[in-house]
Amino acid sequence: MSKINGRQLCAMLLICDAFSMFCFTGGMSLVTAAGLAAGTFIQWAAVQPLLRRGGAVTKGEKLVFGAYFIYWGGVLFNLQWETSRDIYIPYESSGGIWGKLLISGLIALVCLYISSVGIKAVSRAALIAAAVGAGCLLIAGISAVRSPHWENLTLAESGRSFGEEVLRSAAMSGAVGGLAVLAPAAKGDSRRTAAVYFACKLVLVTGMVLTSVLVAGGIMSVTELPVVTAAQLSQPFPVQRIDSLFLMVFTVYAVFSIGIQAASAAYLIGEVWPSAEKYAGAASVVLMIAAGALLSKVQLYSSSNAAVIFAAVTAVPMLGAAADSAKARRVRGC
Amino acid sequence: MKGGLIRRLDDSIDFIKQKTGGSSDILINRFAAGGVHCVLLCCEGMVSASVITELVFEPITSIPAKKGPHELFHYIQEELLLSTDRPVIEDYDTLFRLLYSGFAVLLAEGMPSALGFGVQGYSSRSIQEPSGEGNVMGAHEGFSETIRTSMSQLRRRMKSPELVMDMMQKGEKSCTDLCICYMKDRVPAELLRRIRKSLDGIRLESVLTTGYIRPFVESRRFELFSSTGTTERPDVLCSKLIEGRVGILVDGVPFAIVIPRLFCENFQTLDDYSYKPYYATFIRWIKYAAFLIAVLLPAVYTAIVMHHPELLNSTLLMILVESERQAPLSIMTEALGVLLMYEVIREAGIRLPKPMGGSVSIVSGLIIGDAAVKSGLISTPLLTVTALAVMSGLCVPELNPPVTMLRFAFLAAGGALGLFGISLLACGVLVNICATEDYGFPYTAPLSPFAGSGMGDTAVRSSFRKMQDREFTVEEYHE
Repeated sequence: MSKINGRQLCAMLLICDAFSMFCFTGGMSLVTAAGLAAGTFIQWAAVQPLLRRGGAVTKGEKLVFGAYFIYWGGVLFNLQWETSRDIYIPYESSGGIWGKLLISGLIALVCLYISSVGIKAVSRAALIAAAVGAGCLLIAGISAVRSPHWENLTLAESGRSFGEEVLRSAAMSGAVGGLAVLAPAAKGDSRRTAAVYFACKLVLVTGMVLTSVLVAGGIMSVTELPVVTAAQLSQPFPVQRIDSLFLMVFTVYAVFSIGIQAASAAYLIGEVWPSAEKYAGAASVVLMIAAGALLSKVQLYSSSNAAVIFAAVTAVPMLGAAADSAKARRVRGC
Repeated sequence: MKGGLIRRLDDSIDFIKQKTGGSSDILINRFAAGGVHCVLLCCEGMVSASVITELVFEPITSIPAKKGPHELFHYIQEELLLSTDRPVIEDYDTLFRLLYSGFAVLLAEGMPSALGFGVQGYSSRSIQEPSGEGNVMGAHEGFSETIRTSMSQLRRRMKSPELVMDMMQKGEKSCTDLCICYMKDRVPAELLRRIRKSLDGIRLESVLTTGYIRPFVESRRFELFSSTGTTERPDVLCSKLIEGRVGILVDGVPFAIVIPRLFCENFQTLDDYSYKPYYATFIRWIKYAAFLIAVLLPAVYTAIVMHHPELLNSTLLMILVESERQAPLSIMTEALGVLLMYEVIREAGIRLPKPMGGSVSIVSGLIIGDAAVKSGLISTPLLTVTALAVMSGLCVPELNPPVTMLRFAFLAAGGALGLFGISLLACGVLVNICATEDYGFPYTAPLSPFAGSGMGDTAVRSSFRKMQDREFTVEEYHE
């Protein structure tokens, strides 16, 4: 893969994280912020073996991570499907299931195009999308903090313990798997890049949780999608609404999150089977849609989801390293 | 037709007549010089009659008697010096090429070669002000159709031995002269090698505009925006060459191709470097905004009015509702109709003879526009929005084709799916722009991949005091 740079890598991973946060369901509280922050530290520690190994090296590891991207892409498709209920999208609202299918189909179509141009082009676009999205989120954040309800910080209840929030953080961090493919492709020290990414992620998730709690903390018990609700409640102008600004950021981040998984999966498929490279993008998007349909009943915040992510980023490189050393021993023995 | 000329003069003339099909513009002048039978060939209209008479005929016909044709040619070459450009012609391919390029060709009885004299004198358009790249404070001269004149315009501005101009010919029938220009101390060697390789792949019969060449030096992938640029200003081309880019001049075309082209360059003009930096920066941001307005304004207007009226404040909403209530067509139909009508008028304005251009403006502006609004067919706000978008597009003329198509595409997306549709299409367009790359130079540099050093001439326009130490070359952006 041609080299991308650290900024682009961070932008791609942060877009995926931000989209997962948009689709965050259930209550939020200060415990959530602490849990997500602790979870981020744990993830940073967990990916160190993967980074030391230089990402997915062997054919087997590449296959595992290819499947992982398809799995995570399917989960993101589901998230988009579920969350778009609460966001006004013209036609979808009036079109019923067909409208929903059309919207998802259009997103899949754009993802198909994204996966066809290669990860390098996607990384460049992601940097611009992340910068624009960050600007929009900043506007939403400022309008939320302009009239803060500090009492919400104590009122908000997530109904989960610290440990459960850490688990939830792990379950929604599928983006870290991207380090397996993208970190080795990034210029410079990949461990330093990863450290910058996790620092940015820490600021992003805690910032989003605290903003959501400040705005929607009072109604957290009846809020299904706290980040979406916070965006709908925080309006900077008295006589007009900016919900549509959030709709645009949501759409762009949804497309890029899924597109990045598709492009990464396509890249790995092309690596393992070079003859299939031409169709890898289309195949990965189709497989993601199929995975999304199969996983429609799977809860994002389930421990099984967290287990899949952690197994991929920790166990796979360790097993790969063990297999390498066993092979080396065998060679020495001969 | 390689392998020397026919020695017998009559046979040689017969062969030339046969090859040219007895074309009327080939003039064959028989005479004797120094006691040797000679023929002077030239192409009518391509040579200067006065120059050929004064500098060729008069001296040649007064040559004293010589022992043979070899001595005659030696005498002409070494002692007469009839013109500065005097190639020796060894084959008929070269003979015809030079003949049709305005050279006079001297054949002599018994000689297997001929002498060419550069006495070109064809009429061509004089150097004039560029029509599409106007500026206020810079030079007012553009390239002309004659490649030699364009080359001299470059040389006048760059009196450096580092400036190299390599001539080549392309087009099996047209034999069009191309000139690759570059600064040999600045251009990346790999870029130059790959451009030459791309040009070697041209198998066209004719090369009549830069558009014939550009597809061969651009990526094969579908790109909305062109990764090569054109300029009709020698000063602009010089500035690009100094940055390590490659220019290609095409004979008969008053434009040069610049490789590689970056997206941000579409917003830079020579005037930016004449004004104070703060004003140049302001103008540059106006152009960025104009680009976005040109592409997105009709689409966003349609999307907001049709699907997201909550984005408007109540006063504005009432005004729009009132004006749209009286219009018989849907907003999207209205917008598409107005934009299509504009494109029709624009095309008519370009193709019509100039004296009729004024009539088109009057008919389109006063009669169609005014009548359409007064009759209630089109609402005034929509017409205002469309006019603003169209005017904004004119701020970045080089981007006009993609901007026009994107305006329609975004309008359809915004009308059908609101801001969701616009966002979705924006993702696709953004990825397409970011995938645009030529010879390893990303079109979106220095924005993405981000290069902070490049922001001095992108986000702002730094002063020359700062820029003079930078010694920027485009190789900085190579990936």
